[in-house]
Amino acid sequence: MALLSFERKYRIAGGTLIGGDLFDFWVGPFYVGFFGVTTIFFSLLGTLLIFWTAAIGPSWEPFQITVDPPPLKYGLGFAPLREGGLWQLVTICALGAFVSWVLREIEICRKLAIGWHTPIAFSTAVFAYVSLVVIRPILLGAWGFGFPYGITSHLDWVSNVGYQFLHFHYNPAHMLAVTFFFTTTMFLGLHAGLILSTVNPAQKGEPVKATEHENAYFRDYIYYSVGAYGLHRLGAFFALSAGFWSAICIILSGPFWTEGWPFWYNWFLSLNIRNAAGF
Amino acid sequence: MANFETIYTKVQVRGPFDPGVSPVRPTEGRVGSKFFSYWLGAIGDPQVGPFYLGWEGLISIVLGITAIEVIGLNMFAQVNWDPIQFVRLLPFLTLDPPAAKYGRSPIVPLQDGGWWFIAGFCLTASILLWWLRSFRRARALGMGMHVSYAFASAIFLYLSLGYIRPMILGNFGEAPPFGIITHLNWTATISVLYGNWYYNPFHMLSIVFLYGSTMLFAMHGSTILAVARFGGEREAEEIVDRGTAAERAGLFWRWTMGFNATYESIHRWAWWFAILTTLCGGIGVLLTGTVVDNWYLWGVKHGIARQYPAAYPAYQLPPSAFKDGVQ
Amino acid sequence: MRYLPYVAVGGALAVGAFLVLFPEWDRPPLVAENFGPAGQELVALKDPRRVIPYNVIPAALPAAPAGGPLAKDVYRNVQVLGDVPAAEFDRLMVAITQWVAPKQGCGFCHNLKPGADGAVNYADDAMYTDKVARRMIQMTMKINTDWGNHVAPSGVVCYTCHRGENVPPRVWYKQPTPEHSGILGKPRDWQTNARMIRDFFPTAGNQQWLVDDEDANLASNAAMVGERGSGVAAEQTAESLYVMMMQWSQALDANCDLCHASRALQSWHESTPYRMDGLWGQYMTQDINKNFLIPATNLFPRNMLGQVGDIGKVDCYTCHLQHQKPLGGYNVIEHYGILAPKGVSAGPDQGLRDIMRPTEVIGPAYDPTAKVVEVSIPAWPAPAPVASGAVPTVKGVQVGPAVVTPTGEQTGVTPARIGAPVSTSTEGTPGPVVQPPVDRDATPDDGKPPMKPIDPSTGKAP
Repeated sequence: MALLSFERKYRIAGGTLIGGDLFDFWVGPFYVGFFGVTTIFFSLLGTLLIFWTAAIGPSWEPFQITVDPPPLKYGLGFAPLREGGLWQLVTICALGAFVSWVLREIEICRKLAIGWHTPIAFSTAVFAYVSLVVIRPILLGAWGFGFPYGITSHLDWVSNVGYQFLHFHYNPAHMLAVTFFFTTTMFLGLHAGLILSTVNPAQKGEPVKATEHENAYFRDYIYYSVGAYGLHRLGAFFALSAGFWSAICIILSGPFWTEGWPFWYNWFLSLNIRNAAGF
Repeated sequence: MANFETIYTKVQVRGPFDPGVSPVRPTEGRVGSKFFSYWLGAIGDPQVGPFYLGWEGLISIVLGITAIEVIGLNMFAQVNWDPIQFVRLLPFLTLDPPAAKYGRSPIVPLQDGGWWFIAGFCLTASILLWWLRSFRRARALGMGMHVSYAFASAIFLYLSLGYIRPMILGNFGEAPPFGIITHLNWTATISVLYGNWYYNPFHMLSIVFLYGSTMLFAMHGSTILAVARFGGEREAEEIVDRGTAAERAGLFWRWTMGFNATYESIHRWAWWFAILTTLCGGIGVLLTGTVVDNWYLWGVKHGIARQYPAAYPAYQLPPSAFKDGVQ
Repeated sequence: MRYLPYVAVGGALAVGAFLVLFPEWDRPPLVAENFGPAGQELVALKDPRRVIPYNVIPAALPAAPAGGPLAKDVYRNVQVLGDVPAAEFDRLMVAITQWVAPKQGCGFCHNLKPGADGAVNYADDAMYTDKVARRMIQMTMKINTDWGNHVAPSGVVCYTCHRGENVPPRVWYKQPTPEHSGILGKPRDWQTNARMIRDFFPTAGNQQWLVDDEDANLASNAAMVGERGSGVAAEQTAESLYVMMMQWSQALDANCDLCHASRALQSWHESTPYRMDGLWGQYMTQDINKNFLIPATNLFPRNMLGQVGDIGKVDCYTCHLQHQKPLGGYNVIEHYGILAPKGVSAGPDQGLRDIMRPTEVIGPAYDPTAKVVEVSIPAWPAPAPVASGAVPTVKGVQVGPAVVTPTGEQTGVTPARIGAPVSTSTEGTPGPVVQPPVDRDATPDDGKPPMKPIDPSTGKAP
């Protein structure tokens, strides 16, 4: 059963959102629950549909397998299976699986009597995905604006959309998102390094350290130690901000701005600080 | 959930000022004002300082300020010392590296890239000394060197971009400029000039680790916040003496995805993801123009580029499409 | 200190509100044109509500009566258009006035001071504008005749660039190299003076590829270093090219995906036929800049030239002005065939032009064609009698004193004011301010066509 030594006392009934005790059990390490069943359903179906698409597609080379969205001409309607209908089904499966996963996480949080922070964090990632394949396509009027599911094909899509705006780095929301991504990674490196260095002293025979040394090290190093609690707030906030601003930057690109991003800054040059300041 | 606030700290406990643990080996003393900040306390620790300066810290700060001054004054000169234009154009102002014609030599006219060298030298020296501080401070406090190694990985990417690759290619015109918009221009140009940066496998890996790091921090940060009601944020303590917070945090992921890290191993995952982001990025940079000239064609050569149906009939290509007879 | 976070949050909200309200955002529904295979989003999006600057054109003048005496038989000193009927010639002169000098009228090029005989001598070449105009007419005819592969079927007339202004509203000048008098770099005037992002970018790339025809094949055509076809240009050269390509794209209200499969910008195999059209446009622009504009530099007084004494030159923006086709594809030449003596034809490249259309178009109805407006010009005095034959007429318009009734109060052209704030007038151009034409240092015009022939199939002089 692969139980951890302490696991049995935590495996209690209850806490489900739906289905009562019908699916309230574990399979190996996995908790099932009603949303576990829906997750399995959607993810299996979606995976099979991807394999089907690969089978009728030109190549089994992993980098080249792709599920393409429909042509623009089908607008917001259903497309024939071979012309993007499969993409629509895979998207529905993905959405079903992601949302089930969020709800299943909530059930597990309730069982363990811990906060809902993880399902909330995961919802931000789901929101970024929904922005790409639902919100932006609806705003632009065709499912064909979704991105293809494939390794190189999604890279090609990203560059196609990027060069629609000539120089995507000028997108202010993209700037924010990238800044959050880089900063999060820097924070992660610092945090992980600090915890590891606290409990793994370099010298043999040196006693393992704890919170006082974490604080002392960072105060010594950069004048301030945000503390164990604050650090995780900061990390979660930066990570979520990265996802959130990524979603905003792609929703802006197209529905609310159609030209090159560099040329968006005309408003900036039209500001006349000298006149506004009165000299 | 409802009765435990994790967005900000409602009740701040204010003890005496913590002067910090004594170093295991004697060093210069700590400096700086000792005060508490209410607003910092709302999200983290209210105590600010004390600070260890040390000789390497002092020189590092002086050099860092020098670098920023050199960059800033050059930008100020570009707007003819007009403060309003300086503010207005700051995002667009730049300190450019020397032109390709100067080659590897650092002896170039000041206004033609010489300042770029001076700023780059000061900044690099400042960063390296700051790195030394991270190393020496860890040793002084009897800790591991993990922060220093992670920082070193970031420095590797920085040096690859600004120093190692230009040295290999033979001129500093290939180095990025100091400027907000201009370094973005440099980035986009490098991508298209070498085919398509997305097809650079080390860029792929770097992005995977970058997004992976962000995902890991979202997972880790949110898990710790979720078990904070059980004292779960005291990670070092939970590592050596597991409590219910660590058990619940582990079980959450075990039940969710069938696998869990421990309080210690999650930080090993995180450390490697963060380190590999810049390490892979640096390798990708160093291979570009030295080994691979066109990453898209590299992808074609290795069968990862997909074929698209032709949207238009073929037409006669102009002579300028060819280079040595190769299109 | 305690209130600082409130101030910070309030400030952030204010900045956020400003960024939502102040920039000119677009909004759905949008027009989408696809230029690639389905599902790859090689798409150009257009907001039908966006106001395109200068998107008006003066109504075509009534057709001239057929036949009649030739211009060379009616007027003196007609060097270029001598073999066309005088009535057609007069009609063109009125049209040019509408196109180029609607405020100044004939006096922009001709000395309207009556001579000893009490009549105006239109044959007088004294004003530099007159000599420039002659070359520009030659240039227009050359474009229509030889560059049909880029301009067919609409052709070009003076208005395609001039848009009712003496100097085309968007031309470019060389930027002075920042002086190196001190140890610090010197101001970049084009940045400090920029009023719109377009002015902001350096024009170095235009000089390299719209005048000098440098090799633009900067990326490697082979994967690995040292293979046949490999070799990569300097990063700083590539940056100039990137900037220029952005300016081209914005000029056409298009994006990189119109011509390129963005994953491999250099690959011609993956490019659309539009890229070929763009290449003809580049060659045509080189022809215009090298063989007509730059050789005419010495005709201009210094105050009409740029900071470093160069003439205003053309790039894509000069004609296109944020239109994929200038004036939305309005066919200008069908009304003024006199400027295209052999017609406007793409010749063997017609096949390419036939396949140049989006693979898919969705979205609301969208007609970008220029709006036709009435333009009135100042009345002009009668010419001195020069040769036999009646004074020719433009149908319905007697050529002579006070013949065109100004509509309403206006005596000028209005289109320039209609544009979006992003492009208003020459005010934003870091070039010269348009001055009343004064013939100061003009040099004599030998009247010979300044052009070197260019082979349209290669874009090179043979």
